[in-house]
Amino acid sequence: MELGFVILAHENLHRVGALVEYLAKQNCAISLHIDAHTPAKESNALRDQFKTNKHVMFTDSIHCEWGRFSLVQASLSAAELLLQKHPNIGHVALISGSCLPIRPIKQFKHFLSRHKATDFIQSVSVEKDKWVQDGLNEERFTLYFPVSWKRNRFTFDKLVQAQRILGVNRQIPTHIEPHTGSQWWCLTGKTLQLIVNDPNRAVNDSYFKHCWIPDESYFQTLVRNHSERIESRSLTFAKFDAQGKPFILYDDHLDAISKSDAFFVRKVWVGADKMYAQLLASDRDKVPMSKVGAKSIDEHFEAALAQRTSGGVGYFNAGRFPGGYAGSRGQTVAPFAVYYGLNDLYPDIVNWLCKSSDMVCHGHLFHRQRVEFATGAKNFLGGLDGNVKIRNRNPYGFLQNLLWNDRENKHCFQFDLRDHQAVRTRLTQDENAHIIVIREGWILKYLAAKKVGKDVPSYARQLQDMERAFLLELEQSSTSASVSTFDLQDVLENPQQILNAATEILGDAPKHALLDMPKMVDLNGVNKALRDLKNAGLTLETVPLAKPAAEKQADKQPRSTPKLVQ
Amino acid sequence: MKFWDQYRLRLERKRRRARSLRKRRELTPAALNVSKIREDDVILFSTVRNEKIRLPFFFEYYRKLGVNHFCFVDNGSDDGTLEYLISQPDVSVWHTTRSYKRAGFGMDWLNGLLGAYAVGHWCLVVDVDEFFVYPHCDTRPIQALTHWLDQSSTRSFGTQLVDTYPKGKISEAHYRPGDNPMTVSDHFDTGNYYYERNRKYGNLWIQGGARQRGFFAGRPAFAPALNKIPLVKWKRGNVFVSSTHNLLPRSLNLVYAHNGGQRASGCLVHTKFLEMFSTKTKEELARKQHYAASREYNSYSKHRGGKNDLWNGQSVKYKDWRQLESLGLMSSGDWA
Repeated sequence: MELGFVILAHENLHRVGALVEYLAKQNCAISLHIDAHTPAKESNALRDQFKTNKHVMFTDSIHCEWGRFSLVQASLSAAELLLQKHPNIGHVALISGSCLPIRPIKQFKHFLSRHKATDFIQSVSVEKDKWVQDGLNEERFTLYFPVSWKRNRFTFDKLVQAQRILGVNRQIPTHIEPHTGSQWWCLTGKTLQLIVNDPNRAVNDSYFKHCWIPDESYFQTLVRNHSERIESRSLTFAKFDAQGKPFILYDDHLDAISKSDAFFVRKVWVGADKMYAQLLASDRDKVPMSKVGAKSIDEHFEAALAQRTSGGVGYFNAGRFPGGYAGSRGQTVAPFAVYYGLNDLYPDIVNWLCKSSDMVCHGHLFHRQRVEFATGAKNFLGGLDGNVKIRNRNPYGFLQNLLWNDRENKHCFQFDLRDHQAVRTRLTQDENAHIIVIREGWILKYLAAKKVGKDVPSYARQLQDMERAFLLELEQSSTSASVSTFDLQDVLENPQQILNAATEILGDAPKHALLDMPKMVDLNGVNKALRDLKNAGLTLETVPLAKPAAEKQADKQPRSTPKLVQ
Repeated sequence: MKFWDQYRLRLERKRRRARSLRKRRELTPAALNVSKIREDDVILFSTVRNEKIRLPFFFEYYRKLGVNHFCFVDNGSDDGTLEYLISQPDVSVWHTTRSYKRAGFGMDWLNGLLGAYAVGHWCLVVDVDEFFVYPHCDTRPIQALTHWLDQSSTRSFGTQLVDTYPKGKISEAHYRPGDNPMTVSDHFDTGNYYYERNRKYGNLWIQGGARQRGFFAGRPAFAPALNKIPLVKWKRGNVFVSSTHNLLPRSLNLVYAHNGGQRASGCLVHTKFLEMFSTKTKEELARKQHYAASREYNSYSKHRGGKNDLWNGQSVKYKDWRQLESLGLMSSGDWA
């Protein structure tokens, strides 16, 4: 006989029956182990179904528990039975009751006939490589695991902790070099004979009895002692999710899975009627072993795993709400720019930025009376409403939505002390925020407001205090935003610098050389305002300008000198 | 969470459960087919009042998903809803004319029925205008989802309500029995939802969408909650607290990942806005049986739309779950 199967089954025995029947028809020997906890009615029905089938044999049922030696015990006894009946069998494959063949058995046999002496078993050295994704690796072999993790998680964890503290280090038998790998293998009859009839079998078994998840290490380790040639890969496709359980396959995976370079898949959902019908059809054609797209199904599940554990930035839904440390980062989808004070210096800055950069340039998104979307419309992509009350209900959420809804583009907006301030703290804590600040920019605000007849000193003080609070906030350690601060003095003297910074803030070069400068606010009043403010008793860092850069030519009035101020 | 807070929630749960057992006595069985329920069946629970026109498609949709049995509370319908329900083979119906409001807006009745018939089952609790959309719902039946949730040791599944509305006037969105309401009321808002956490119960609190901007723009804080947990593996002692927005015990509300990743979640497509809506509003306002002094219906009745009631240039036509996932409104998590 060329090919035999050891099948471990514990549920959905009607599906197992279909699988066994299919394999038996293809002239394969099958040794079945049915878990002792499976309802007797079901297991007896399966036994009756194959009572007269000479290819099918059943071993005594024991209760198998995940992660424990009972699984190895079941595989061993089933393998022994199979070898007893067919001592000269070519290859034996271990599969589970929820596995299905991706390719026809004929093709599988043909493949094995070309690799007569090869053992297909994933066998990775524990010391040299790390196959185990998550959880215990070397400690699987050096600690004792007397209780089941599934049933006594708490005790299990405490026992591991206690052994670590006590420094327990089990002696690994000298002939054993621990290897791990996928539970599902396909070994030559000869190798399997040698493992089963190993002169050290008693030592092996008693050692592995106290290891953790021995079904992923028993055969994987011993095969190293007995095999002529090992190809360290599993012929059964299985991927594991974040919880360490295999991804389940459904009908809609059928196309992708047939491109895989494996021969079997696990684990198939019991209700996947189409998959069962198609993969167990007796008249199946050969499925080409092309390398094209062989990894697509792997990538599909790897992407899902990444999505579950760390995926997603800048949006929320019923299954995602980052809190704590995770909540403090990755809240907005992409970098964005915030300009503080620029709008007061250049009233037309928004239009100018639109022309000079590729950003979507909003006005004052958080203006108290309105929301100034770049489009000038009352709403924005995604149905984001320009209603101030809705925006103010959750201003940072509003910003997150705005950035997410138009995530193809980069965004910038103006922000100053007259705007709704509730968003400010979250803004400074956002690592995606790039903020340009003009220190003492409030003076420009004061200038603008003075025209409408405000009470000078108190209003100016109020603005100054607000700005100080804002700057203090930016200096705090919780600030993750990248902040570039410019002094008003420098800006007035050399406006080119801040305009360059404003267009290049998100790392892009400006669309074209900045020839066309935006129109600066009328600076005639600046010097006078500075004097007035100083005389009113405010401390200012900006001194009246010797020669405002923008007014070099235009300024016909006699220059004011610092002396006058004092 | 402090021990005392936990204990208070436990007391609240007990109180709600006791209340549901008392309120269950207000129900009279009109058609009892619960003996047909088998071990692994998924059961749907709902309260209805004068919804006959919606029922044919509702059954078509959920039977196709694989729901095995339906349990309805009929709250005094007079349009033939009760008769229609009784005629269905896989439906159990209870009838009552008692106050919807005083039964916790129907939740006491449903809690009572869930405790009696749903223990050990996955159950779906939805209104007749809500359509459950989960990842891969076009290729996998609901049993595939519940099996996977079982395998993942998860007992509840979170969704976000997505309001759909027609292009044009709501009163002109004509609907005939059997029509798919998602093709009549077929537009929705894709990205104006706001997320917070309810500290007491641990659930997410989602607001926004078309109803907030359309009817609650003046008082956005009062906009209806859009977080729903409609699919739960029922255990003795579970109770829904406020509609299906949250449950007790509290752990059932933790349907979201809080470490930066995402868990599988779905949407409930809410097709409230069809032509029946305007008549329904008048009726409901007269009955005064809705949440928070019928705030919602009050806002609707005051609202005067122009050419379009809710539709605007940003509205997007609803397609399928993949569209919702690419918009970020739901996620397949690691259920690939």
